[in-house]
Amino acid sequence: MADILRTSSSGLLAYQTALATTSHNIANVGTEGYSRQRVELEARPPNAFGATNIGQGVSVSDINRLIDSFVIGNIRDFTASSSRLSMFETFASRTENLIADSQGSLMPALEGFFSALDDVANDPAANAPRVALLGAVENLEQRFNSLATEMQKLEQEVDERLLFEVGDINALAQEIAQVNEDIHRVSSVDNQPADLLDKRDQLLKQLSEKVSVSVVEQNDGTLNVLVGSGQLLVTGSLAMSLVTQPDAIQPDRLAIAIQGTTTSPVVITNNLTGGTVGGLLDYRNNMLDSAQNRLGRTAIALADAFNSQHAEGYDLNGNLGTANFLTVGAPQVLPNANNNVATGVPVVTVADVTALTVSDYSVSFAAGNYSITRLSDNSTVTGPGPLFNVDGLDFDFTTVGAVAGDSFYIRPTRFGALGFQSQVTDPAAIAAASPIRTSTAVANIGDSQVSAGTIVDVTDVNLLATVDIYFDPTNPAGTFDVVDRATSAVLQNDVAYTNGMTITQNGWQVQLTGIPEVGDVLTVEQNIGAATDNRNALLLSDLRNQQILDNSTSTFEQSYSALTAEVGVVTQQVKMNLEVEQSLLQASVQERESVSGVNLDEEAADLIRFQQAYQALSRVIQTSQSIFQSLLDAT
Amino acid sequence: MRVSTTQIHNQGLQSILDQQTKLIKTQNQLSSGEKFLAPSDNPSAASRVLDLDEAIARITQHEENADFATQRLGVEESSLASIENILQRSRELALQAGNTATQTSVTRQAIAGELKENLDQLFDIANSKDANGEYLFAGFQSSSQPFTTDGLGNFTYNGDQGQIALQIGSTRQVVANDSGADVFQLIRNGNGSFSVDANSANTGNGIISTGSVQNPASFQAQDFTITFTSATTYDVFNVTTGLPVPPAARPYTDGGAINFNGIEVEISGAPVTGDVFTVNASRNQDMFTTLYDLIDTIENSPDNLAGNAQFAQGIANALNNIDRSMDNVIDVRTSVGGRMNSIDSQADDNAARKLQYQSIRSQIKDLDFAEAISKMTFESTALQVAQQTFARVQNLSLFNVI
Repeated sequence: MADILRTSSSGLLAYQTALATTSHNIANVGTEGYSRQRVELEARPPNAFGATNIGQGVSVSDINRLIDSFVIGNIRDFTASSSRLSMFETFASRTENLIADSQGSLMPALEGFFSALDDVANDPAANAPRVALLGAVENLEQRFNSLATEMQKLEQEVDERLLFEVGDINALAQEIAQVNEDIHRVSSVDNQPADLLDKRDQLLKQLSEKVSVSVVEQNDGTLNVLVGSGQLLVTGSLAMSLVTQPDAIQPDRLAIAIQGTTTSPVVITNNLTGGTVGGLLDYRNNMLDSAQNRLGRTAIALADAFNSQHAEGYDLNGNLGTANFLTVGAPQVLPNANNNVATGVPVVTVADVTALTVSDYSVSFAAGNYSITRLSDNSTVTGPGPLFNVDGLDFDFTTVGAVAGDSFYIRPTRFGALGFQSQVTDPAAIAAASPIRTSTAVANIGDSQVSAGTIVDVTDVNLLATVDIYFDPTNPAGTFDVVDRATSAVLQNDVAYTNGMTITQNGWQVQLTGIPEVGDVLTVEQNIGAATDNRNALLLSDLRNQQILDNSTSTFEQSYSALTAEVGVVTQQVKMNLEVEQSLLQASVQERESVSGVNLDEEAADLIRFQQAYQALSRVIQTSQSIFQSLLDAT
Repeated sequence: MRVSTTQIHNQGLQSILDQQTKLIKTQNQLSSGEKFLAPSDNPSAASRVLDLDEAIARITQHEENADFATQRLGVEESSLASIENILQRSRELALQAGNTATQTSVTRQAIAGELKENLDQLFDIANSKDANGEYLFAGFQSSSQPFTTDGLGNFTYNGDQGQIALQIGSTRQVVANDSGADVFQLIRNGNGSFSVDANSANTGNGIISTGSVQNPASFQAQDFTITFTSATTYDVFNVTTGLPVPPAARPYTDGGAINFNGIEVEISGAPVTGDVFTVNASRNQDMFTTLYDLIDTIENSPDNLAGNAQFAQGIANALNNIDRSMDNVIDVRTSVGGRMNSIDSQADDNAARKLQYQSIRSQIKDLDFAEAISKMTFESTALQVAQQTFARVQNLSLFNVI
């Protein structure tokens, strides 16, 4: 006879397990990464009873973890990409706000600067507009400096965060290794420790928030975790660690290397993608560098153009304008940390601001040739040198003495804005006037006129010498001499006069018009005491309209609005991509939830079902007891 | 599809958060009045707005420059008007003084006195300053007094011929001053081509007329003398070349035309042997010298035959020179007026372009409030719905009924 008691007690045990699992599910309804579990019941093998088989009750065959491992992999991937974009977006928005802030941006300062120049041009003799111009220059200096400083702070913050994230990655790798070991210890082929697997998946998801990983399952239940281009981060119960160290190429920023147990660190910065680390690196490479370079280039070009025009002017103190009104940060040359110790450093200077790009450059030396690579598009100039002119930059390798394998990293414009500084504090030193003036002699009989004149070469030593254009009576008819008044030296002899002709002498150029008479004198001389002369101020103010940058296609203000647009476009793309990735992530999370998530109503129903079965089985035991009792009573 | 409890909860929460994000964005738009808050909301529009802002700022600056130029030219214009009045009055006085029928030596002295006042006034105007304490008519040398005199009829210009141009449009500059040389000094004497005079040592009462250029093609800016070799003949001599102009011993008739060098002058009266008349190419003569010479003529001409001729000659020359000065002042005034007109037309142009830029900027950047407010109403309703749905769904649990 079948053993009712044993059969029903097997059921009691099975449903106890079921109820326990249900309560485990309910208890973990709020646990992140928890996958619901289900008790799998199976009928126990029957007892042969004559020609028939009688059931032997129920047993728990397995407690299943309901998961879709493909979805879990997707979640990891989407987590890595949306976390990358989210980090990028955070920094991009900050950069964008910095550049586009209506008060803090460069634009109002540039406008104020050019307006102040116009005010000086309006009233060059007055002191107030000159003082105001110096104030506007100072304001411009502060804007350039603070924008550059803020961007540098962002760069430092990227490094600090990288340090922090690397610490997190190492901690997670350790934990994963530990869980790997735990799983390895307790699991068998039939019995996978569901909660530990959940924990490991959750740790992997957290790791994916930091950096993209790929996962390879091993036969013993452990997982190997790889980062970068296949570097092992975790293998079994062993975790490697990531370390940060100064970059060999750009020593002022951090590189990330992976350190095995025995080997020395291998730099994998450029192989790391995804996650917050990927986001930080992408921001640094794709937005920050270019924004800093653009700002620096605007500063360099503005200072260059302003200085050279200012040098062609004449100030209230009776001096030629200083060519050193504004100074900027010079190009930076970084020798590779692994260069030969005897190798020197090349000299890089800005030769032509119109040709300057916003790219950085790398220089390598091999087989007697230097290769200069523009990093924005990897176009390369190769040759033995030692002098190169590339993109408006002069490279001088004369004293470098490189050996094969040496390399350098060049940032031509990075520090331009940071070093932007005004060197003039004396309002009278603003060269609003032109160094020369022209006049017709009162005694002239003819009505010849001489134009106000332009400066063609301010370095000419005789620029300020008094020069008479003299229609000497002893000359052949219709000719004049150009005479230095102080030395009486004839600089140009018997020049034939035509109406509208130009004369170039001593670094200036004038135009002659009208009908001269013999004996007429036109004079070009030093412009002493010309307080109201604004000719150079007008030319300085006109720099606003000059298309100087980008091979003479952009004004200063255009170049800044292009920077705003560039940062805006990248930020916009990042935001849009972030939305896409986040919705993909969300879809995957929902997919996972629908497979693995706990539904309390479902659990409640299960609870009732298992409770009823449990109650029924109790009744069976009671029945079996009463059957047994009636048997006893019958005897 | 199976739904987990967390999913129900998260989805409800997420839709509330989404609605809140939208609402906050609309709220920010409304409080700032701008369509986009960061360049990434619309990068091309943001950069366009920056360019427009810059263009508007530039036009605003040009407007300020134009105001400045108008002020400067306005001051100059009123000075020029005063100069014109003074010259006009001086001309009347010269005519009065020249009227020998009505004037006595006493009344002439009174006229000379008023002319002196005029000269002082003119000199003051030439040395006047603007509101900033800068000399108006000094060219670039606005910190030093442009005109000085030694009190002996020598007037010196210490300024230069500089002209300050102001930027009133992106490609348009306007000259905002005229130098003292251009206004007061560089004035051709005589008739503008040549000037005539009688030698002060003449003893006859011959007077030479202003004359005119008859044949511009053969006119040369050279100096000549007409010397009477007898009461009825004279020679013409080219001082510049040092050569006599043939024919020699030309016959003299009272008031008859004398022709050489493409010009025609007349000598009237009775010159005597040795009397010399000069016909010089026009030189620059400042208007102070013109007035000074006039005063000198009125005050110091001796009252005899030759002296009366000198007086008449001096008055005639002074009238000529005053006319040249007036012509010059009128020319400068016309040019100033033209410049002010061009400022006005540029100002109209500036204002029109500014308005255009501002309206484009407004189209790009300014918020459509009606649209934004209705959007906000919609979004706040949506948020309420999300919140209510969340609460309702969260209450549904099987545990509540077992």
